[in-house]
Amino acid sequence: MKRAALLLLVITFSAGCGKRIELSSQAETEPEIFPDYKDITVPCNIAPLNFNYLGDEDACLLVENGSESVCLKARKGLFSFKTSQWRKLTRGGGVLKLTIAIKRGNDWQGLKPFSITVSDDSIDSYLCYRLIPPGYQAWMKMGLYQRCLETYSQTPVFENKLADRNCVNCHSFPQGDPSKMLFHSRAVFGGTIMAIDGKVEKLNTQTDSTISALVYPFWHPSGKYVAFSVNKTNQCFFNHDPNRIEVYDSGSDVVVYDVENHEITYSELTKSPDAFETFPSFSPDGRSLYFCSAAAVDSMPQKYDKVKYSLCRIGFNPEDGSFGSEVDTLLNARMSGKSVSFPRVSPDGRFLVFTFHGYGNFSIWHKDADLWAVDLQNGKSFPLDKANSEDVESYHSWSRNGRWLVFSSRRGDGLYTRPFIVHIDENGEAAKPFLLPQKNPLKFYQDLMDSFNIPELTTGEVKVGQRKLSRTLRNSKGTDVGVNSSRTRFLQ
Amino acid sequence: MKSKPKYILPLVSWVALAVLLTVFLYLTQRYQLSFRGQQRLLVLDWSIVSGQLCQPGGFSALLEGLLTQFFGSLLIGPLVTSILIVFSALMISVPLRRLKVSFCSRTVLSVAAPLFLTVSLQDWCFYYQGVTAYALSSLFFCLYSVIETKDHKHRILEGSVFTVLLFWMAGSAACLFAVSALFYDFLAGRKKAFLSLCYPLSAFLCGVLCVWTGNIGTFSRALTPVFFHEMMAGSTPFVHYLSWILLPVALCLGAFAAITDKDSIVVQTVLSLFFAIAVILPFTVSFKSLDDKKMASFCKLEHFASKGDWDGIIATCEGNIRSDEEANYLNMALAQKGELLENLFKHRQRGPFALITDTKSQDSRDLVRLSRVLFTMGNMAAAQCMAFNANQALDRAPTLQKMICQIDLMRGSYGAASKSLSLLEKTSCRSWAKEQRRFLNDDEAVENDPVLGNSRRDFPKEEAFVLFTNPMDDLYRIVDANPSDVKAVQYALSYLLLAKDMTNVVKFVDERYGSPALEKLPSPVKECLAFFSDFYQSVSVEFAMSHCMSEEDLSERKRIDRGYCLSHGVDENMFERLSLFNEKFGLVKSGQKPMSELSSFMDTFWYYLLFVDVKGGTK
Repeated sequence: MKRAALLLLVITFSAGCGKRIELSSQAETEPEIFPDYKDITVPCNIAPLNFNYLGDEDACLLVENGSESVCLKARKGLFSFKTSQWRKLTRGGGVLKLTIAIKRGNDWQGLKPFSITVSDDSIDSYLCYRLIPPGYQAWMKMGLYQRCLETYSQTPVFENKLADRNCVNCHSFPQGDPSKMLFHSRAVFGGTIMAIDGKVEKLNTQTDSTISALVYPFWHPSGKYVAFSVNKTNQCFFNHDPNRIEVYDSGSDVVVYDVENHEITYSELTKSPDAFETFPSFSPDGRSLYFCSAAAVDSMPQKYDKVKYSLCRIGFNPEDGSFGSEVDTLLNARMSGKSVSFPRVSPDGRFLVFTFHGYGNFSIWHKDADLWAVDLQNGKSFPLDKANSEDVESYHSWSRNGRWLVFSSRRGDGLYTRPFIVHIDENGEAAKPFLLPQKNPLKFYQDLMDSFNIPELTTGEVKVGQRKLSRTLRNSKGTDVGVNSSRTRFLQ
Repeated sequence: MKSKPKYILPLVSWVALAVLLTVFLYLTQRYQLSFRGQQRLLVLDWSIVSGQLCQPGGFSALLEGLLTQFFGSLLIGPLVTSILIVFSALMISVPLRRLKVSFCSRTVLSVAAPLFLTVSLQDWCFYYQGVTAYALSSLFFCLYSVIETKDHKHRILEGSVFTVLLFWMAGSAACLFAVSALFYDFLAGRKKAFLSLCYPLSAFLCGVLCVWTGNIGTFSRALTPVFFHEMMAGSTPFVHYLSWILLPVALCLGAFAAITDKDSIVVQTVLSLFFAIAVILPFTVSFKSLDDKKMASFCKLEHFASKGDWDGIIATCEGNIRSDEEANYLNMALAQKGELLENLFKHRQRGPFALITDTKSQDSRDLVRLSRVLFTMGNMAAAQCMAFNANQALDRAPTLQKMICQIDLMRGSYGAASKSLSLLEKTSCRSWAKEQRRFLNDDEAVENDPVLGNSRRDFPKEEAFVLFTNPMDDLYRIVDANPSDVKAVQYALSYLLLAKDMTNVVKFVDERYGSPALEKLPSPVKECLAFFSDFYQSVSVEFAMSHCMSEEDLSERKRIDRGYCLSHGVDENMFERLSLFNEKFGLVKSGQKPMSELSSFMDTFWYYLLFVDVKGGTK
């Protein structure tokens, strides 16, 4: 039997390896590869999943999908697919079986094979993110970039060298629509940039009625409104804690910005002096506004770990921009003893994924932060176990078909945030996630001294030019945002 | 043999000029140039280099990185800078020569423009790339003037290609070339010189293209010396334009001189002298206008700090402390040598700020200083935070990147440390990085290493925010966590002494005397104990109560008596000296003796306590 198995293993590799390779044996040793692409599920339109074999030996890779087979020789450990090769292999979905063979003397030994499941569900073609050093306060170079997920092409959306090294942050799109975008710019040319269908405007969003300029955004699906938080944010540095930094709010509210009228409205229920409200997010039908809310704590940051955010929901009427009269608490921090950040409802409205962690709201510096989901049909919450790791999982964004979630994680080296993509099935179950593919992933991720911040999926390329954005930032005085008190709702 | 004298004079002149300039730069800017090298981490990796080369001006930036790597040695910076400037001048002298300008005038005029680069270099927001780009521009100008072309069409083509190529290599310095070439063609009477307007036009088009495609933010950056000035620093001082403006001016003056001084040596000499004076005057004024003493001092201290040359810092600051920042460096150097407490009052000290000041500052110089001071204090989390911020502000500095990496090793954040090491392995710090690799994932190796192990033990057991209240609170936690950290103990006691907080000095001694880092008490601490004892032994209950002190408080203080002091290493001589001090102090106070009577006590805690104004708690 053993001999028969070995005979079966004597597979002839030809194709890409350049010469015939015969496996003389098959080991049960798992191959050490980077990124960990073992037994993952990937979208059918993803860029080739090049990866590196971390051993020192000469290595070959055999990929089979039933009808096609490809053999690649590692160059300095890198298995690099040609795009046409990859497309052939992934066409029509199915399961790819990958076997790495290593050279031992004159023989080739196969290591334990692994599989990659190619899902028929495609992913939105672009990912937009900010590249920024995983830093504390100072910065020099940063920018917003977009990456075509079907290739390796990364292009800048806006680089801060065009605005005297301003801080640019909080890019956001309605339902992943790249023709509508906003981001904030802080420092010399401060303001919020709104780029809608090629028209760019700058907003001055500080008002007398709000505690700060507009901060964390989420677009209404109609594109007519954007929910924002306003936050008094600060940060302190731990002397030993592995979390290193605590970024905290000493006050925050949620408001809604009316794009056409340049006005903000709010409800007393989202702007309570007794609570810190933050991270707003609309439901896909636009009739509910989710947000996180914690009982206000008077002495911050001393009581930083006492602030725990619940997951809340309030009705929203897009016809007149008014709020509902009561707030539902979907996940009570007092009950759970933990804190919710970044609620994001799936496009079909069934699941809400959020970041769950011990306390506070700035989960990217919380090693215990994990992704959880609530089934909005029955209200049950559960962790996305397969997506989570020992380290941070934080910001996340849904694909338009609701089958993919991109999220940021620090599982690699504990400091530099990387984007991972995970398949979510119709029952809300997550598959094993995979790291954003790169041409030479080991070199790319080792060399990159920046974090991927706020990974947002978009259905296409952001086309508004950098020049247009920088010209508006530099030259426009900006439109002052007002407060519409007639629509602002106070409880009687 | 006949031609020998013809070349000797120019050769000697240029070499002499280079030597003079080197000496001048060595005397005025050696530390600033050293700091330029220190703040530049050149990563020799093709993907990074190629990315840089794709940017307009990328070649000159790469050249800057390559050259400044060697500026750590104090002579190299002035020498290389001098060579680049003299090279630029030499290149400019070639077209002047073709304009038939006499040797003397030519030399003066060709040096005039690039000489102002030394003024620009005084502004640390002016990139060294401005010098390399200028040299490239001068080289292209020289080539343009000497290459003989068949006709004007070829010349225009050649000049336009040069402009575009130079824009890619040296950014906006292409405009300098373009304008100079245009002036030259007119002044040399070249055929259809007006067609040379193509060069400025080409440079302009390159600039427009870069702005429109989002490569460069503004037209002024794309087309002027603003390109070489840090954009975060605000508007570009006019002085940075001088080296550019003076080049076409020099060409015009050269052409004028060529007509006027044709055969007369006297006229030639007078004109040369006139040109020389016309250059030296504005040069002197502008050089002085950018003379930043604070920056010069910082660069000098940083030069020594980056090399761990603590004696260099002490020698620089001894008797010459002009600010708290300088005092921070001095005290850090003393702490590194284990002499901080013993020598605390041998230097001018004005409160705890002398140990650490401006802890909330975001200025990159302050961040660099603070990272070093906090590292020495053993406040590693705060040091890493400051080093990280400084590293960002300076666009990566090797010594700061090393510090960040070391602290990651101390923390046991091996993933992050490994990443820093991978980066450093592609730089001039390769051997250091390779050496540090052995600590990755090896807690035992880290704990046994004298630096990493000791600092790992500095991480406080009690979790708290760093620099949240005042540095002393952090120091208490560090000393509690690692009582054998001599530097932290020295800083802690120095802080209390400088704050004149005698009660806590006594408490500190009470709790920690005899521990590994405090086996013997340094003189200032003994002086504090002696004074404390002397003072409270004479205080009556009534006096204490009239000063809001309870009887228990007083009796606790009276516990520190002569016997206590003697058992803590205070000897009789010190008490005698204290009596003498008290006696002289009384005479001075009553006006019977002048202050100079107490000059022999100026290095004591007593003198500091009674005569030095202390600035408050934290800053």
